[in-house]
Amino acid sequence: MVTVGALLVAFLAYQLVFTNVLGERSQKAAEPALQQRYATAEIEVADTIPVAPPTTTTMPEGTTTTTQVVEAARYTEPAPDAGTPFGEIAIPSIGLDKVLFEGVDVATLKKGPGHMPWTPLPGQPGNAVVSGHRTTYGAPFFDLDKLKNGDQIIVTTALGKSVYEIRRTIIVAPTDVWVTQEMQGAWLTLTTCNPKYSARERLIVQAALIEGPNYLYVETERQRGLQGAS
Amino acid sequence: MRWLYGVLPGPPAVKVVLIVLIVLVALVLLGLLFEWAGQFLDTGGTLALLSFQS
Repeated sequence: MVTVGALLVAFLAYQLVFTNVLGERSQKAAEPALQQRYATAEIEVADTIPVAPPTTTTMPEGTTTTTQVVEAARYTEPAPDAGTPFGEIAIPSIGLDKVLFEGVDVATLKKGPGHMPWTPLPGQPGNAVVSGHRTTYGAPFFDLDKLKNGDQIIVTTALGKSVYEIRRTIIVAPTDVWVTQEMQGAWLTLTTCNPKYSARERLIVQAALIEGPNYLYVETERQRGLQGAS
Repeated sequence: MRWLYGVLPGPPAVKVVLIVLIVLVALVLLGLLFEWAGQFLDTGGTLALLSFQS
């Protein structure tokens, strides 16, 4: 009985204290590589779309002038290598500020929140998915249940700062992979375990892009979609 | 530990080395056990077709 009790205490100390020390250490160690990426990543324009159709005006003397077409650009950054830091995620309302890593494998998530590589990078059109530990390894998403609709999530990458606004929070089964599916517009989906200290369910937070380098492109595409539908 | 020291073969120096090795192996096994059991506490929030799969 004493041995079982001692093992249980050791297990809890390992999971809730030791892994959190390791997680914080990984976060600090990632800073130089992150700054290196910010300094060297080459930003490219992947696509442009006109914000408004060109207009041609005929002057009284018969000459015509065409107004300059304003274009919205979609900026991209190089895909990060697996397991490397590529950005930061901040949620001011719960005091979260962590380095983001590429990948959701066991080893990567021990360092911090990880981006699912088969989804777009944060700041890009589509549904960017980021997973993180709830209670161990730095517990980046410990307070995710305290978020409310309208709270902001700020993701910084080599591209710049992308601001998201929370639109919904749901609880799903661990097998509900549909939450990672492609979505119209630019979205950020955060996933973590639920309830605290259990992996029985997943807490999902979904937020829409409201500001950032690709916001004009995303908004223009959305409005074109609406016009096409009507 | 005294019991272990008593049952191990060889001179005292060998017994001490063996005890250190046994303790190290036990700690590694304990760490692996804790890592495995930790999946039931927190998987990192990943979604998969099977529960507890990362």
